[in-house]
Amino acid sequence: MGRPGEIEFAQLLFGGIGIMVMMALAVVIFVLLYQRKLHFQQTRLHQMEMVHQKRILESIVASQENERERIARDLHDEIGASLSAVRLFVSQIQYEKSPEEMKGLAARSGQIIGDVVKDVRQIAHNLSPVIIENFGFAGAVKILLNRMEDAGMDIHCTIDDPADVLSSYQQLVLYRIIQEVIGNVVKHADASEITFDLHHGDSQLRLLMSDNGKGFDMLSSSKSAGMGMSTIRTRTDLLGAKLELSSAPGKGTRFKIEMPV
Amino acid sequence: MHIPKLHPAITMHYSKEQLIVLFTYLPVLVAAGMALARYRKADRPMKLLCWLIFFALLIESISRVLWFFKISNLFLWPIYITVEFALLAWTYSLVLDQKWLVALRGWMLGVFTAIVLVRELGQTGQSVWIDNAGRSIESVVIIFLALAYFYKVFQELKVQNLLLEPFFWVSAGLLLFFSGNFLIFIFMNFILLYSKNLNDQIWVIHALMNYMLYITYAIALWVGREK
Repeated sequence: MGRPGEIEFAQLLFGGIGIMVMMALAVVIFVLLYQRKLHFQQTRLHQMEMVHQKRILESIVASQENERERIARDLHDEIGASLSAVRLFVSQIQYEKSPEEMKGLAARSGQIIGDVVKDVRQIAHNLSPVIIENFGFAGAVKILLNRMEDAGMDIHCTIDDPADVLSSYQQLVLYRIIQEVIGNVVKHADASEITFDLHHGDSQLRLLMSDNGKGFDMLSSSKSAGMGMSTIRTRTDLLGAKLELSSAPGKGTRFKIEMPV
Repeated sequence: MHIPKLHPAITMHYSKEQLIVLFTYLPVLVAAGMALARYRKADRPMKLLCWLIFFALLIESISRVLWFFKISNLFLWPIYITVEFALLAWTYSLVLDQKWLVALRGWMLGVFTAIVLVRELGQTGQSVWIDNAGRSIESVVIIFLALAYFYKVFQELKVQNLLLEPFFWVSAGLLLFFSGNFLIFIFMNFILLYSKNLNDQIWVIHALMNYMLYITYAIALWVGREK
């Protein structure tokens, strides 16, 4: 091979072959390395999802046990004691000789039974989603907040009824979250004021609940990781929502939930 | 005393380029041995690969014998490329498992065979002419199928270690082989008439690519032994 043209052609040809081989090799190496990385990431993601699903399931089971325990406690503390008192009064009636005494005992038994009926209705309302069917979501939440107002709290409430943007299931889950949060305020917060804002728009639903109670230290307290919070977090996950909780001793507590609709 | 004369084909001196080209028989033989050992337990795509290797061994054997006896073996080229194309297209239609490819493979083969036949019948009188159109089309199609396999690997992410996947090795081998030889296939007839030295050199490159291809086939059959 001596002619200059031949040498140039040979150089071009071998250069071209070299480039094509290098490109093919680069593709093979890229596929090998990047696929391994992607596969590893996918496996890790899958494992994290499995752990998360397991936690949700455990939380749901624990939440159910918690609910059963609460029902049992409500029935025992409120209904059981009252019915025992009624039984006592009714048994006492047969030993009374004076009609006034008998009337007094009957009246007191009747009053206690009336209270028991109210308590049973309350427990049934808490358990059943019928309240949403009967009054709508906004109505059911207002009933909940009115009970707080009857108990002496100041309630500031603005509700944008989400019945059009949430399914029945989503409404029920959100209602349970609100019930749980309000239950926590009543039990732990010592608050005199609750602010409740529910708005939806721009494909987002925003719920903000805050109180002026005693708050808690989020870093050291077990309250932020306790059973009630666990239930709230599980339900928030079920809605695909984002939960923000902020609290500080003496500064009240603030719940913010955002979810796409 | 009569000393039997050896055939001139055995006693003549061969250049190093000719030896490199001659010894491409060895990796084909190794791959064929591996294919024979793995054939019974292989799945359908791997069985098709085994058939490709057996066919390549047959063609290489006939080609060597004809070369030794200085008889033209160029008539084997269109037969080889057509069968190779058919087996590779069929194999990839099974591996990629795409409806469009399964529907198209028959047509692809028909059109390819027609092109090769037309080109062969049209070249009467040119005894050293090799059909480069068929081989170039085959190169483009096989490069596309190999890249499609790599794309499928990314989409599915089912495999943890690609080095243990037989078709990773097959696709890598085919991609390197056809990419490296593409320009050779385009210019081979021109170079044959242009420069003998250059012609010898490009066929050495082709032979080295062939070594690589059959080594990757052998590796594919080796790693596929557990499947």
